[in-house]
Amino acid sequence: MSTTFVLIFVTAVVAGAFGSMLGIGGALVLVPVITLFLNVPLKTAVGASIISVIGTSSAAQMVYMRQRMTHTRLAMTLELATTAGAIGGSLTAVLINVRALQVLFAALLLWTAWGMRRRSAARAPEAPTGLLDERFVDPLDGHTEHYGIRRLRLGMVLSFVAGNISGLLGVGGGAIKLPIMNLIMGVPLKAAIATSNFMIGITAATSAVIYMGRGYVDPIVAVPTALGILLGAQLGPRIGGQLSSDTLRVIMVLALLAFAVQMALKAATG
Amino acid sequence: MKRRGTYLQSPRTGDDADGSLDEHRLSGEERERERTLGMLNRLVRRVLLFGLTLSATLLVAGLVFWAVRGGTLPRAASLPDDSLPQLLAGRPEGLLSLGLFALVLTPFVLVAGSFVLFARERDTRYALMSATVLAIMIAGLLLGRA
Repeated sequence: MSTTFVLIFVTAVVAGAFGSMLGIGGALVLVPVITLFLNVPLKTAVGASIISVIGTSSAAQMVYMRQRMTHTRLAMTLELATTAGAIGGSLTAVLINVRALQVLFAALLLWTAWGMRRRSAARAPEAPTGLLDERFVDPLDGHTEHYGIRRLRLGMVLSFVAGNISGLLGVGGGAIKLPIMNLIMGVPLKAAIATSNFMIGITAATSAVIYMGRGYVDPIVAVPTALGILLGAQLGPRIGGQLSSDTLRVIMVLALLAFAVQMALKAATG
Repeated sequence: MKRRGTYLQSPRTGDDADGSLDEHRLSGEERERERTLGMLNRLVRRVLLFGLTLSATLLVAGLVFWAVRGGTLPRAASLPDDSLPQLLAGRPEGLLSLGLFALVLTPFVLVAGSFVLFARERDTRYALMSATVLAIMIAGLLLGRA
């Protein structure tokens, strides 16, 4: 029993570290590992994971808010749709078939791996559009970036979907929201990362209270997860400098692919 | 902390590394506004830090209690309706549940903080939006308890 506890903790630390280094949630590493290798039931893993996403978000926002990097207005606009989706998703999650969840998860893993296949395919920022214009100061070189938002309605629809997925699978949805903001809506990458990070916490909290209320959060799993993620998120940026981002990315893509295959197999063979 | 001031300050824009505007280039009114926003921003971050530290402390304390007392933990963490009485009864699961709940509350704080910031800026539209998001989140909380 305590071995599992420690292993969950260690997994969460690694997941938190990777998550904070790469800007996507640790959930995509955490959930597959503890369900596939540590025999944690999927719904329990999802409940624990959704709480850990909050840790990643709140811890990072302490930095992003200071840098004024988060586009709060855009986040609130999109969160109207996302939180509504999250309620839908988490209410459904407690009812839905586990196999269906596994398939969905495998699909999400593949989708994320695909999105990471090459180096930052970030779109160059576009000029202010008059809609939700914002600016930030790049901490690396001090220059001010001005940008505007496009395709807001599409962004909201996709955010609703992302919210649903978040509620269903216990993921932050960052892997979906980040490309939505950066590639579709024209937000510069750094601001998109900060804003996505802000949003995933809000979405996850909405789902988390439903999960807790329905008794789907098992402390034996959730507590080491939460502590591990909080620790990992601190360590991540510190050791991130040791590895090249390409190395990290390759490891991540391979891991996600491996998990996707295994999740799909589990769903198929039950 | 040592990043402030020196090499990250761009001579061109005069903007500080923390994203706030250089105060010398603003009018008196804008300066006042930036100062208030800066204060609120700092306040929200402090509350966040408090929440995260509280959460970690409760969780670790709960684990220590559990290690010392032994016994099994319930399979489900509970909302404060149950975890507060548990805490008062000296049960480790009370501490653990509250620790988890404290963590879950931090985004609520962020949204409420955003509401205050928008209200302070007289930005009715986004203040209302933040209030609505907060309402949806609270609805989730109530739905969870149902």
